[in-house]
Amino acid sequence: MILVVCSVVDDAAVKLAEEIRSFAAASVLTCRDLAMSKCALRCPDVVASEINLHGHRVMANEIRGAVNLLPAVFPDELYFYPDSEREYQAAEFHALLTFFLAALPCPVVNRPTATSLVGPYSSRSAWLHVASNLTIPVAEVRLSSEDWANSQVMQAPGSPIEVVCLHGAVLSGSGPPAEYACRLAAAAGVEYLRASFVRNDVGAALFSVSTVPNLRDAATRDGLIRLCHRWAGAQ
Amino acid sequence: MILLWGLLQDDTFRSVHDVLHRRGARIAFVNHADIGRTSVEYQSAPDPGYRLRSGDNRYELEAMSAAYLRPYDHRLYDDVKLRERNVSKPDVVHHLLMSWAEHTAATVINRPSAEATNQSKLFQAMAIRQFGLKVPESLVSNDAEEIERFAAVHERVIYKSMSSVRSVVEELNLQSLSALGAMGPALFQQRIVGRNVRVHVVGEETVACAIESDATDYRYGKARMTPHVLPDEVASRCVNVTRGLGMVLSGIDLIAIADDEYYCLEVNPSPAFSAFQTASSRSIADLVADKLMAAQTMKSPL
Repeated sequence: MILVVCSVVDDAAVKLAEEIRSFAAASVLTCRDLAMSKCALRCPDVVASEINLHGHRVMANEIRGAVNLLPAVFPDELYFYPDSEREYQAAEFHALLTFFLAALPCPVVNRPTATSLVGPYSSRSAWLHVASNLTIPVAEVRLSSEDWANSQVMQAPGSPIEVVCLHGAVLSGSGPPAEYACRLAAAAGVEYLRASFVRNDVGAALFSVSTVPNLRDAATRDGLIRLCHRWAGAQ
Repeated sequence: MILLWGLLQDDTFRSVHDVLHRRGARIAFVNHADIGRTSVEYQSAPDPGYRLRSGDNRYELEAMSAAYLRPYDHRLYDDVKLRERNVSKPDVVHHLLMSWAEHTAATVINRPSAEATNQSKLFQAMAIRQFGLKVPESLVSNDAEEIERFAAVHERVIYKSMSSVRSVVEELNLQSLSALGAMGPALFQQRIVGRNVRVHVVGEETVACAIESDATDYRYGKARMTPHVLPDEVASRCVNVTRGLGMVLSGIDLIAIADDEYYCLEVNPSPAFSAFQTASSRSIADLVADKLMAAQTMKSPL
């Protein structure tokens, strides 16, 4: 079984799961599935955990891999709880998924950490710090609590250079930005990383990073399908 | 200089503030309640840098050798809570200060990534186990039959939140479980019966106290605290798990079921240690101040 962990409104994730089903058992897993169907997650004996996916009981040790498209659990995701409960339940589901996806004995793209469901960092400033520590050039970004709205919309001049890395390979992009992105992914311990660079007088400088797989990008989707093939073949 | 960000009304924060003040340490106290009048600015290049302004005081955060941070949920403050919920200025101040705290070379008690380990109790339990401390068996389920089977194996079972929100512990009553009907996944845990022990770790130092209480969760009942001597092996594991989780200071909840057999329930990354300070134990505030000042000494040019 291959899991595609996603929001209840993520149609692209449903299509990815359908595509994977052409060669392996696959299913989306949403917070709604965990809330509405029977589950039994065990700690510390995680492999004895089981979830119920659309009528099928799945043991944790039957899961061959997971593609995680959920950066966080937002209260709106939990529309089936009363309004007053959603914020609390969002923290609970976030905690549940953090534990379960981190503890699964199979590959997870990307595996959660304590700070984020999709890797170790979720903020731009964090990635710029990591890049600086790796001596990767970074764009001039200024973030200020006095002028947050303008900080947020600040865009790089010209079209950005996009690089996507998955499982140690470059899916799109080339040259120094590709090398920088791979070094960032390795340093952060993430399988999937999409980095945007701006052109400046030293060549390319990091502008932003995302660790949520972008399924609208054909190279990413194809790369994930190839990876799922590999996971299915490892059965 | 040592950055102190918190509330002086908080006894734990105040105790560290007062020790540092008494010792003549150079401190930059930023009142967390003033978050609406605090600003932070970050620039990525040519070198990453943060500037903090609070009232008339301005600080380059790179000048800080250490920090003790006990932030609160600023949305509860009167001057903030009525504003729109999307992104408020205090949200950004908090975000940027936490970003600095995560990546600075200064000694930080504690870094945000270490704080976050407590936001998923079972995620933290898996890490605790790696450092040789026993953890209770847990089940997350919404299936009444599974919960009943778990309760049959463990006889006594408690339930509590999976996250750090609404962290109240109650003992499970199976009769009330069947009356609940459909429910979402909840955390059930084997109840370990023994002596409650709270261990505060500051770097390599441990200060332990035993807590006598009849309540399921001693925080919400009458409790009596006495100094407690940990076996060396257990003390060493407490130090290791604190370091392993990225913390300098921790408050570890243990239950002793025998002289040398302990279970670990949780590692609190922002312990309110003043509530556990027993008369004859060492001052935890002094140990925290030692850590903060040691970093100051190391950073000062000779």
